Amino acid sequence: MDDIILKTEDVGVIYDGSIVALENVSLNVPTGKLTAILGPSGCGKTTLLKVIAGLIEPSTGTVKIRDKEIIGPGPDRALVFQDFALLPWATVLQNVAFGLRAQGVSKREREKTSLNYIKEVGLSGFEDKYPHQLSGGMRQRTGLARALTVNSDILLMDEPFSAVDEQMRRKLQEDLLELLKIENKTVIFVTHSIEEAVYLADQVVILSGRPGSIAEIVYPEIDRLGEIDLIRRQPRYVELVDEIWSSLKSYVE
Amino acid sequence: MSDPNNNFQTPTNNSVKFGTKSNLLLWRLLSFLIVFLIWELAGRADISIAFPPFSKVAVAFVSMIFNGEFTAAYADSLPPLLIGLCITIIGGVIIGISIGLVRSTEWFIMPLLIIFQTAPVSALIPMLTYIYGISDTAKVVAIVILGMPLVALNSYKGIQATNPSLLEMAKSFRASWFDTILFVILPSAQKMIFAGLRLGVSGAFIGIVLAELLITPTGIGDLITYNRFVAHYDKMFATIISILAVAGLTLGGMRKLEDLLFPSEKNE
Ligand SMILES: Nc1ncnc2c1ncn2[C@@H]1O[C@H](COP(=O)(O)OP(=O)(O)O)[C@@H](O)[C@H]1O
Ligand SMILES: [Mg+2]
Repeated sequence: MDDIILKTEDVGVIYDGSIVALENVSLNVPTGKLTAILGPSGCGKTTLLKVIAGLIEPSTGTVKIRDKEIIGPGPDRALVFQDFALLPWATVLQNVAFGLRAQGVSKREREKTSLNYIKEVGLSGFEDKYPHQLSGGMRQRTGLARALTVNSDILLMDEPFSAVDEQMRRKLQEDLLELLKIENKTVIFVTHSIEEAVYLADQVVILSGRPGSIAEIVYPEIDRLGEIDLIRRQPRYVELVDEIWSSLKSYVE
Repeated sequence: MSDPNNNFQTPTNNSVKFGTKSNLLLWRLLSFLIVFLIWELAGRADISIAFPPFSKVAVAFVSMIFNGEFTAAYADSLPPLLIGLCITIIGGVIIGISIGLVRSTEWFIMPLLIIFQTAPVSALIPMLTYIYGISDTAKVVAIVILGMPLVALNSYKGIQATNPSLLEMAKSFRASWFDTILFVILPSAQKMIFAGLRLGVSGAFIGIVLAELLITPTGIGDLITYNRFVAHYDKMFATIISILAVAGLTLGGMRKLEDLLFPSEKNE
């Protein structure tokens, strides 16, 4: 059995005393694997990710990392935002360095580290650009580089590629897989796209809506060691997309 | 520069540019000229004795610069104006930012600010005489009353308008309260704060003139009142133009300062 780095136990979230967004979510996240959280919009995916990030305190239940209960955000987790959450008045370099700056890392150190990750996500040459000068894909690469600088074990991504066009999304997905071959990270990836979940994830957690709770967990077991662009041709990939769609259908009414 | 993103841009970016710097200046001068010309014609048409043509006002303006009338009046008006402006700007920004940051103060100060901003506050100015007599203090208070709520309210709104997603980002990276204010909240509020400062400074100029017209007959306000009283309408208008010019130059200087401190390219 895989080594579990993070688990949620009976997590429930109630907004404003009455809106039940999540109920009884118990989930194991294996170390070094990519876990996708899949479900229709409004089913509580962002809520679950924010609870794991320590930004929302759950109404019931706990989140544990290596068997220790979390209190708030921590150095073991870094978040990539759906809307990028870049500072519009700061350059790519300054944005990428934000996390390190918040940790009090010296300017020299943080710029060195940041430049390294800017290169790794393929943004070399754009260090001094401002977010409004970048395409959506490049903005999210900036957000990804920022999350990588802090060197956390767990990467939390909230529909990171949903705001970019289809071609760019595919490129970003491929690049993420390439990157994860180098960086040894545990990734929790929120998405509403079945294809994206099956393509990327080792474990797909399907949430049903209102209140959000785990409906099913699927293990794609797709071979990602070879050529990445061949993944979508594997019979197993096509089969799984169909299978998940038929089980999700019932929740999308 | 090698920017693959720019390869496919339409030529509009680099084609005809309206409003380059020298062009803009030319248009402004032209608009002034047109106004002055219409004024000149209207003044010569003998609408009223109280409305002299522009040329007479211009002559009066120059003579008042050199005969010491402006110097004496501004020597009276500028010190309280400067003190009032300092209090308005510093106090307004501090109050606005504080209530923006510390929600518990909001319910206490906000109603006061909104009342001060919406009520015809100038009606309160004559009452200041009862409290402060005919003094510079009364002028300073008038300035602060008219200017500070605008500065505070805009600073507050600027702080409140900070993108919640950016705040969440700062929190997720465990930025300290201080860093969050310095690197996220203040930069995002900067435009609103400066807009508030400009409004507040306009308010301050209105405050000083009203105070000098209504309660403390000294300085610029007195120069206006006196010249109207003795029917030197050219001098009266020259004085009014002078205060408009001072206010305009101050506001223009503030814009320049803001552009210098925070180049707008970064703020799209
Ligand atoms: N801050 C909030 N206050 C009240 N209700 C919220 C809040 N955030 C989300 N919700 C509600 O909780 C449910 C789940 O939201 P969310 O986690 O954003 O879903 P998803 O990310 O899957 O689209 C939705 O019905 C949403 O309206
Ligand atoms: Mg969401």
